[in-house]
Amino acid sequence: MNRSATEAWLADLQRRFGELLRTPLDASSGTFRAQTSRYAPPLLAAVQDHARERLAVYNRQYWFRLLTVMQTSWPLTARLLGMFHFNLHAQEFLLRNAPAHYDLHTITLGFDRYLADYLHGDSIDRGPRDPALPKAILLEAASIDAAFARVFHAPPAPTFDPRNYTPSELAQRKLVSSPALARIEERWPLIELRFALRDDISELAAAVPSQLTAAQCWALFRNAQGVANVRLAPLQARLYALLEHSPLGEALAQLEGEASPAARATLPEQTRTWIALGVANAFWVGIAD
Amino acid sequence: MLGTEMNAPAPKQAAVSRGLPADALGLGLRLPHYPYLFEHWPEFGYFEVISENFMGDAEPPARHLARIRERYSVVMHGVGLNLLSHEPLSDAYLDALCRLADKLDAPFVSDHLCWTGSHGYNHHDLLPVPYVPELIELAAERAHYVQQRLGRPFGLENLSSYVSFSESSMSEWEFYTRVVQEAGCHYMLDINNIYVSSQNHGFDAHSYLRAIDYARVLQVHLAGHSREPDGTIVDTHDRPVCDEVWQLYAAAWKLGGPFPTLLEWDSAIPAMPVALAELARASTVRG
Repeated sequence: MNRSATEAWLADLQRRFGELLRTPLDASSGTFRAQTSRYAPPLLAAVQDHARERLAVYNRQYWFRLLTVMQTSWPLTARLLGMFHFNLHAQEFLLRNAPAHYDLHTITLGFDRYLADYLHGDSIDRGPRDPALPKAILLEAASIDAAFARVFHAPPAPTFDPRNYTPSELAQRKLVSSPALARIEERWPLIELRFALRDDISELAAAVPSQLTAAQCWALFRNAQGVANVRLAPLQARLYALLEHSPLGEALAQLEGEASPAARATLPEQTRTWIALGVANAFWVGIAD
Repeated sequence: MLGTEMNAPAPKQAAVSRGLPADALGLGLRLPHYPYLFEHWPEFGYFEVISENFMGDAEPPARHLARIRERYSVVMHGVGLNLLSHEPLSDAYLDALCRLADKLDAPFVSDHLCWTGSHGYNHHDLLPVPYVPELIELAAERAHYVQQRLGRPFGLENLSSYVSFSESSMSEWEFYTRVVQEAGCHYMLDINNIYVSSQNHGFDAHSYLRAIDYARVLQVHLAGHSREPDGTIVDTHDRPVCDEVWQLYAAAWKLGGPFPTLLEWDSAIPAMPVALAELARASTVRG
């Protein structure tokens, strides 16, 4: 064979092998099994000895590797669904979005949008042992997992030091948020659940926590260990939200206007503390031109 | 027995400069090691990282690796080069690989004699090809090019495989040795993989070992494996090295040692002292 014939022959083999790898596993028995009857005869004929069983090793390996990466990237979502049901959804997602990049992390991107777009109805089946999961909790969990991943994978960002700017510049120009910062508002106590489940290797669906009486906010940011979080007071969360769109001076004035008379008395001291916390934890990377 | 056996290897050339002590012992760096490592900084040879884990933009992995590099030599081992795809090598991938190698001043870089994707898909697995002469030239050209791009020694690792192809016209070790020779690159010889494939395909692992030119071995890998219910051995890296692999390692050492030796443990990863104790067995086994 010349080079072009060799490459054409190789392309044909690799196309067939790739199709076999992506053959979905069958979960109808309650466990994920290779569907060897779906393997294409030409590839089976090209393999010596125990072709179906040996090719099934690759087929299973493909899916188990990807499903493990999905479980690791969407830990809260996975535990709320239970691993079996999570894997069903993850496999369906990966059939529609087969991996294309060498970075395994990229296979996980968009699963939250997939859940939002393709899950119908208000609740999600979790099998006979567990009550159905309200879709709103699942989507909130997915958005939290996505935020953790986004903060972790953000590129290095410059350090913001307010001492490099005049008071006038700081008051009149907008702070630029770090790509390694996420603000989350939750209606169920899911961030605490995510941490509580961190060392729990169970594959069962986690119990659904009760809804909070009022939504609460968190900031996720990077620290030396990876991703850290801090719960935000309502006015603190509002300040950080205002700072995304307004210069510091305007944001402080608006916050003061929105605060109750009782809260207004301590607001100057609190805002100094909250801004110092943000600077110390690199919530911002600089100020806009 | 598949294909043809090679005769004894060519006379030894001057051993490749590996940038590590010839008998160094190393460990595959994995996330669960970090807490112990950052507290104790144990004294041992060197680390090997999975290249792709550090080629992205994420800042925490880069920061951790920079701390580690301050104290240890770090070699790079890739799983995404896709050397034997029908498609060309990815320049974007190679650019990122070279940047990381330069940043770490890696003594050497390795990847696998396999393909990992085609037709726009990345399968994230190390996949076999038929062993035919036509693919030797393709693989050797690309391996040579990668080594040139890297500007440092590049090693190819032999696969664990679960299928063999009826179109193969030569043994795996003949294919492997000819690619390395024609590319002018190096071996990243995985002893566990030789054992796994020898059991799955019924060839003699010692014939494989005798075919290797040890002057071109950058490093040897050791790992554990598991057995499927049907008897197929799968390269799981989830347990200690088995006695049969230690025996093969001792035979390789006798044939061509010293060479740097690295333990891979990728699943059910034990505490770092346990992994280091397993690695230390290498010194005992080779005597």
